[in-house]
Amino acid sequence: MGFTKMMDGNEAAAWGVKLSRVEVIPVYPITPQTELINHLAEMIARGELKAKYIKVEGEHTAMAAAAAASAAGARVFTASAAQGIVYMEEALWMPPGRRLPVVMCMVNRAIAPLGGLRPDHNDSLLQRDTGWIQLYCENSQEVLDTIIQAYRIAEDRRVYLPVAVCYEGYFVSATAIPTTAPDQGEVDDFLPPYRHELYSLYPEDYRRPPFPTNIAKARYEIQQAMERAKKVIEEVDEEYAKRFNRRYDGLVEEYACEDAEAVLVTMGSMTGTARDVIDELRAEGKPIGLVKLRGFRPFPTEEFREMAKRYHAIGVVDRNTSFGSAGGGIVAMEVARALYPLDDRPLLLDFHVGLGGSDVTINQIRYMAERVLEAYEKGRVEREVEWVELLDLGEVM
Amino acid sequence: MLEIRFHGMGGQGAVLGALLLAEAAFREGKWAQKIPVYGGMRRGGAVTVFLRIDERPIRRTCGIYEPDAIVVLDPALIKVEETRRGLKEGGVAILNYRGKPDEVDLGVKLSKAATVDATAISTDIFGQRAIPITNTVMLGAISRATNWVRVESLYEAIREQFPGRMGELNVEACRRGYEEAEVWEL
Repeated sequence: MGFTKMMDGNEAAAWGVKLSRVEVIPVYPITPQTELINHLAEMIARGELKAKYIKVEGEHTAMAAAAAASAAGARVFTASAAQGIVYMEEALWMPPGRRLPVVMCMVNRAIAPLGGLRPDHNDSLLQRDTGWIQLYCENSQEVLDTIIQAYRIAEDRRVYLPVAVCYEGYFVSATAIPTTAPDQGEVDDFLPPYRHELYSLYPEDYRRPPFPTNIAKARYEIQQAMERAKKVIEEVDEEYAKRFNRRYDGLVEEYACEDAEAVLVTMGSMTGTARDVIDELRAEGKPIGLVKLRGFRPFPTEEFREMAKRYHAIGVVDRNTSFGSAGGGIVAMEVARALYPLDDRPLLLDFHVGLGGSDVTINQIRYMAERVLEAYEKGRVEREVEWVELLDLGEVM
Repeated sequence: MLEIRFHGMGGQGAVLGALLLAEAAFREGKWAQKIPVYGGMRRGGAVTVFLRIDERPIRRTCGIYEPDAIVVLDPALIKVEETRRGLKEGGVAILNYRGKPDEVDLGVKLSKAATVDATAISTDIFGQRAIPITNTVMLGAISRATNWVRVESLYEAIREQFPGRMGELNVEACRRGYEEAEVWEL
């Protein structure tokens, strides 16, 4: 039977893994991911989850073992954060390159030395070029649901790529809300056992060891798989909604956007806070809406081009930095590229906030929303990139 | 929406205490959210936990800067500036404190204050410890002083969290907190 109880993001993730009947879990602990793998170890010890838990000596090995187990035909899960993900990075290229449907949680934490234990998005965004699908979650419930969805997406023949389910430490990982775990039988109907198809998706001439002769073609096929994943992510979310009555609108959710002239784009936990702020602004008659970016890879280019027809100003909230970039944070640069070919482009503003793990406050979100509205009203952007945390907008922990 | 901030030392059970209160509220059909803010997991360091209770789903994930109420698990923290900061005029304070609730001065006009010597009760029940576990005692005091949750819901949440003898000891701690808390109201 399904049930609802107070669960934080890490416990919800463990339930997502258990309900997905994962078979191999190679992991190395790191704050704020540790409670997640503690829950999994307990579930295995109690005999509730029939999985092989491999204690490895570091994250690099965790991913090497995950890739190997996946290549051998098992459904695999691992998780890490910050320095752990960076240390894992070399091995992170293996699952996409070998077309292995590994699923992992990236429990966002700022990378040292410019961060403590709390989150920003630089650790997962740093992996955006590896070929992993990346989905960002707002709260415990979305974490649980997205992990189950992630296996369906990763193992779909049209995709066959690994999926990173990203959620922020503390604000999601340790934040408990009433969370529903669906019935195991219903999850089994939604997510059938993994049928392994080793190498079946490789280009013919890439299969012959030791030298793949057509690497460009293999890479192009990953790119094609990413493109196809857009539709698969939507389909999977749609079917999930039909069965379990919760939906996340695939790659992008537009919230309170009816008749909006301007929108704020958020990712992850700050979205929940932004919903409250946007509701207040709408109640004040301000024509602003909210766009939640759930999928960063593949990037929802088409959706942004559609939005560009409706909204005159887009403000991107970047909980990351890209020092010396073309302008601003990583998300804003993607949005800019998506919009560039259009004849009639909306105004684009970018905000750095919540860096190194600091809170994203109501005052800050209200400030950013007001700047986007101001740009819409004036018809021009005064500051392309703003470091919101450097402003005095009240206490920020 | 009710916004409560818990202050404790690592090891006193502020995080679990807030979770138990959230679970009790959830049992009563409310929505609740617990956000802990601490550094590494360690005993003795300051721990702040945010707790929200509402009739409808809570979406915001930010910290609580202007709480409706504070719950202080250690007497040493009452004087600390971070503990008092932002407490709303007309707010509620529930303190582990040996003095009377009408003596409480947090520099802001309160509508209600409750005090209980949670350290002494904890020592009675759990024995002498370097860092006394005061969370379940404070939960009892909360239930006595406010209408946030019924004490029976707390007992249920505690028994589910700690099966067996530990659960019964904590229920006893909670019951004594409920019975021995002194409440002052404007």
